[in-house]
Amino acid sequence: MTSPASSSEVKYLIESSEGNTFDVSGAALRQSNTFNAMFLNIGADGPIPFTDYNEATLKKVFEYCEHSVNEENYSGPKHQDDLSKWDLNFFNEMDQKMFIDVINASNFLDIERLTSYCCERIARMLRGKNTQEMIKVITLPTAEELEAKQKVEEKKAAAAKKVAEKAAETAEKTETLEELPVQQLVQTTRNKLTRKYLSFSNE
Amino acid sequence: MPPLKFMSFPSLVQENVLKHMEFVEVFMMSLCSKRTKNCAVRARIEIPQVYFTVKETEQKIGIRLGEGKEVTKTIIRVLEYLEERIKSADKVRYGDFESVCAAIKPYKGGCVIKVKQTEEPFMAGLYHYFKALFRLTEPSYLIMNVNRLSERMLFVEDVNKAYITGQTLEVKDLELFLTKNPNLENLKIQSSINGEIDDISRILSVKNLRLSSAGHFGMRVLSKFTGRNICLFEPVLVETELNAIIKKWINGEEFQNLEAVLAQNIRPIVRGMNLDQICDGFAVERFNPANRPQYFQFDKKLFGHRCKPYFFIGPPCYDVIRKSDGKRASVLATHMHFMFVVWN
Repeated sequence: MTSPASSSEVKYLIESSEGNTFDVSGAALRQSNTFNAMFLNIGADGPIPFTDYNEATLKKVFEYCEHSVNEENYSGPKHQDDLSKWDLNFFNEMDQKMFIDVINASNFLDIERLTSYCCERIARMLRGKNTQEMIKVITLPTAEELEAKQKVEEKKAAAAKKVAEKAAETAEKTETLEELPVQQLVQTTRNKLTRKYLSFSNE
Repeated sequence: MPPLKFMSFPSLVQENVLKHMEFVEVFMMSLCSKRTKNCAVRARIEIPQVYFTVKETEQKIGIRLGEGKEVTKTIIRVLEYLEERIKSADKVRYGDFESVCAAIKPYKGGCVIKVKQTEEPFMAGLYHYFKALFRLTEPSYLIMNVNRLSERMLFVEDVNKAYITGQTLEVKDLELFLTKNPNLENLKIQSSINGEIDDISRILSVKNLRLSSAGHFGMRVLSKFTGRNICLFEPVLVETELNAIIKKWINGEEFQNLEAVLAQNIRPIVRGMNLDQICDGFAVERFNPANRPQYFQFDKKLFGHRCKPYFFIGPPCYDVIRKSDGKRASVLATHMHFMFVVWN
C-alpha cells in the first residue's frame, strides 16, 4: 500500500477477518517482529491481511502499539506493579474474550512487550493458588474428566475397530463369492441348505 | 465469559506465562497435569543455587536469593504429618507423587507437602522431579542431618557445598558422604566426629573445611590437611604438632596449598597456647608494616558473614618465611585462638 522507505507518518492498511480495513502508523506496526520480517523490507501492495483476527482485536493491539511508540526500548519483562496508569486501564477495559484474542494476536504479530504483559497478567491470576484452584483458573480437565474422556475414546476406538473388522470380513466374503465359478457357487449353497435341513430334522 | 484455556494458547505463550511465575508456582502448575508439567519442562526455567535440606522429620528445597548472598528462600517444604491430622479434603493424589498421601498447599511464598513419612524413594523422586522441571545453573548446597545420612539418602547430585548437622558423625559415614559427593569444595560439620582417619581420607582434601566440634579429631585432620582453608572450633591442639606443620610448610615439604588455619575456642583455654613452643626451631620475624598489611580477611564463603578482619600484630604474632619462594605467613596464638595465615 505504501512505500516501506518510510518515516513514522507512513500509514499501512490492515485487513481483519471481517474483510474490513483500517490504517495503522508505520511506527506502531514496526513493533511487530512478524511485520518487520514480512513486509518492512519488501513493502506491501494493498492491505496487509491479518485475517485470523477480528477488527476489534487488531485495533486493540495496535492501540497499544501506537501508545508505546514513544516509550523507551523494551528491556525484558516488566512487573505488573510497574505498569503505568494507561497500561492498567488498557488491560482493565478488556473482557476475558478480548484478552485471550489480544494474547493470541500479539503472539502472532510477535509484539514482545504486549505479549509479556499479557503473560504476566495470566501469571498473576494463578498467584497464591493451590493446584485445584489453578486447574479451575486455567480450565484444565480434572482427573475424572480425563478418565471419562479416555473411556469414551476407548469405546469409540473399539467400536471403530469392530466396524473395520466387519467391513474386512464382508469384503473377504464378497471376494470369495466373486472368485467362485457359478457351478461351484450353486454347489456350496446347496450344501449349506442341506446342512440346515439336516439340523432342523435332527431337532 | 469464555474460560481461560491455558493449554489452548500457543506454546510460546504458555512458556512465557511460566517464566513470569515464581518457582513455587511453576512447581505447583506442573502438578496440575502431565501437559502442564511438559510445558514447564519445555520452558527450561533457570534456577540459582539450590539448597537441599534433609532433616529428621522435615525436608526442604530452597534457592539462594541474589548473586553472592547467603540468604535463602524455601520453595518446597516436606513435613511429616500423622495421617489422622491430614484432613480428608487434603488427601489428594498429584502427578508423580501418587504413592503417598499428600497435601500440597501454597504457604508463605513456598509450598508445603504433608506426607505420612519422608521416605527415601519419595525424597529422591521429589528431587529428580524438581531437577527435571528446572535448569540448575550452579552446583547445589546440601544440608543433611547425620541421622538421615545413608547411601539411599545421598541422591542429590553435583553438590559443591555441604553442611552436616546433628550430634555425632562416624568416620565411615563421613567417608560415604564424601565418596558420593566428590566435587565438594566447602564442607561444614556441626557434629563431633568419631573414628580414625587414614592418609587417603577424602576429608583431608576438601578445599574449605569447617569443624564446629573439632576436639582431638580436628588436630588429626589439621596435621594431614591438603586443602586450602580449615576452621576448627573447640579443637584440642598440640603445640609440637603445630610446630611440625609450620616447619613442613617452611621447608616446602607439605601443606603447600594451605592459605589459612583458624582454630578457636569459645571459652579461653586455661593453659593457653605457647607461641614460643609453636615457633621453636625456625627463624621468625616480628610484624613490619613494610612487609605485609596489619590484618587478614578470612574467606567469607567458609567463615560466614560474622567473619571480621583479624589483626596480626603485637607480641602473640610471629612471621615465618617459606624457603623456596620467600612467601610470608603469620602465626598468631592467644588463649582463645590459633591462626596461621599465608599472605598473598
